[in-house]
Amino acid sequence: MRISFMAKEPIIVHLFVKPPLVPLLVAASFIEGFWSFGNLRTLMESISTDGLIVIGMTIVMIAGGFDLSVGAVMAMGGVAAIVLLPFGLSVSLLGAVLAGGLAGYLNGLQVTWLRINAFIATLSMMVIVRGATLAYTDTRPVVSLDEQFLMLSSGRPVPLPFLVLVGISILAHVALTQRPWGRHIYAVGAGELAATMSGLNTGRLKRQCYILSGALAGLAGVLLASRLGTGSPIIGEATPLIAAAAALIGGASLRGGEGSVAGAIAGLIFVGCLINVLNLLDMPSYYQRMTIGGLLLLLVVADGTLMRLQPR
Amino acid sequence: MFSRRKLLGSAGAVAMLLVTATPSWADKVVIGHSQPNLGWPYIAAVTNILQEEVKKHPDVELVTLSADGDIAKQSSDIGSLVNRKVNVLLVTSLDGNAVVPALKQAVDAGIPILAVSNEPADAGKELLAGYSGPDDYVQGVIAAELLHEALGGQGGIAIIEGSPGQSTTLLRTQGLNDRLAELKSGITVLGAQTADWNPVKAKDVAQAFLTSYGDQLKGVFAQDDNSGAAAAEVFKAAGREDIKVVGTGGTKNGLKAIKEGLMYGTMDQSPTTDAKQALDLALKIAKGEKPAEKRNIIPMPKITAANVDQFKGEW
Repeated sequence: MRISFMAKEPIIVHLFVKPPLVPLLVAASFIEGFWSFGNLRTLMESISTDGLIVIGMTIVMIAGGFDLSVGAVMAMGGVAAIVLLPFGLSVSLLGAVLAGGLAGYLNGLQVTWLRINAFIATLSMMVIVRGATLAYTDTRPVVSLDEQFLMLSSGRPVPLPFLVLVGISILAHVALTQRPWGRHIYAVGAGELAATMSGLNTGRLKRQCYILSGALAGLAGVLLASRLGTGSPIIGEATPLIAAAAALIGGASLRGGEGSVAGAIAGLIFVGCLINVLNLLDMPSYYQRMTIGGLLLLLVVADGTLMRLQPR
Repeated sequence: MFSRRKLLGSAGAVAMLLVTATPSWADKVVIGHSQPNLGWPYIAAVTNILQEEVKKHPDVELVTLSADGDIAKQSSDIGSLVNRKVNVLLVTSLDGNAVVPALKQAVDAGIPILAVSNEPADAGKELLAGYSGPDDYVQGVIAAELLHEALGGQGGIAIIEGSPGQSTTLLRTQGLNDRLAELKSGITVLGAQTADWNPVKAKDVAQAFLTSYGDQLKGVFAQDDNSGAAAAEVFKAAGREDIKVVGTGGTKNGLKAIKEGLMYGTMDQSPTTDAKQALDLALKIAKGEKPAEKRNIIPMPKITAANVDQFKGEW
């Protein structure tokens, strides 16, 4: 068993190495308009919703799992929020988050009770939730121009969803690093058998991770629906992959037991800034994807190589 | 853990790459275009023609961003173009409702918007300086007329739809249904299934229609020509060449299928006309002129075996 799950990497690692965020920001300074108020606001808006999902994904990955259903659950959350809006804003918010949490709980049940592989369990949930959302809406986006609802994604100078992301990041960081619960999650991911032997209820811990991931995806759906004024049943197809890329770039691992909120957020900002910079440089979107894919490969391979070179 | 600093080297290389190209767009008319997905043939054709046409104007620059089929990315793309203070914003929306808040942002920043190729929802229309492009609803209407005429106003038809949830899909279906009702046609719509603009999927859908509806099925409305041609091949292989297929778009595949007698008809949607008209209007708007008409619909002539030779198929 690897012991690295106990070692906390200092934040500075996530600023310069995993990922090389500061060098990117320095390079971006040479591009006209990058640090402009409007551009930063667009950047904050676009990473906020993905950010909530990245945090959930990271927690699930630390526990040794994976969640492919986040994009579909986000779409369901957005649709649920708008459908429930006539009953009041709080009902709408709560409903979307609960629906997401329920999908997460079902993911957790599949993984822990039925012992289905996380990829397959969450893949099936992804298809079921997507299908249900499309069926419920008859494939049509649901629309709301309710002022109060649209306010959820407004706010100047800093958009509200970004503040939500900051708040939840801090909560998740504290839970993972300062609470026994966090240590247990790392332990489950690093070695389930050892964790069970030391008396942890690994099944329950894993289910909690999936519930969190689902609930955060539901919340992300609400915020996105508010930003677009629309709950679209087809949104978020690429979300699980983007979230996983950000988490991996930020130091999480498919082996489990590794990763941190700070790393995930750094990875997310890195990917978000990179896309933004490539947009400002007029790079066609398919080359952008290739760049991000190549970088992910480079960082992961470099990480693995350095890990092997390390004296044990 | 700290021996990983070697990664800094590679990060530095990335940084170098990024700083070498700093764009300059001063003193030029900059047209920003938010496209839904450059991977779609029609969208790619329009962008290619726009880029060719812009070359004729040395003082004009075209910036195209592709949302890659992601509604949230389109909203950010529009935000980016607004931040760059483009002179005119062209928007081809992926979702006619979801773009509205982003369009408001552009209006607040004082940037005039020309919707191109498809129209946003009603809440967005009032924000526009104008619209240029085909009319998805009218395409559904034309398809209804073609099928009504092909089937003599009798029999069951089925619809091979585009991607679910897209305005294009919804409007084409609605146009068809409304026009059939107006014509008091005896044609009944047996069912509709999505093929996601994908001809391979369209073959499966065509097969499923044959199985479910059998002899009741007399006609098919395919919301794009490629899917229509693919479906027609399935019907031919099953010995059901009597099923009349009407497509949408006037693509190379569609015209070929009409010439070979596989498809009954389609209506033309020329990316060249679409792109040229959009650029003309965009340049006018950039100069501060108001377009004479707010809605500028490109011609969408019916194509059947009778006149197919007059069209060349551009995409």
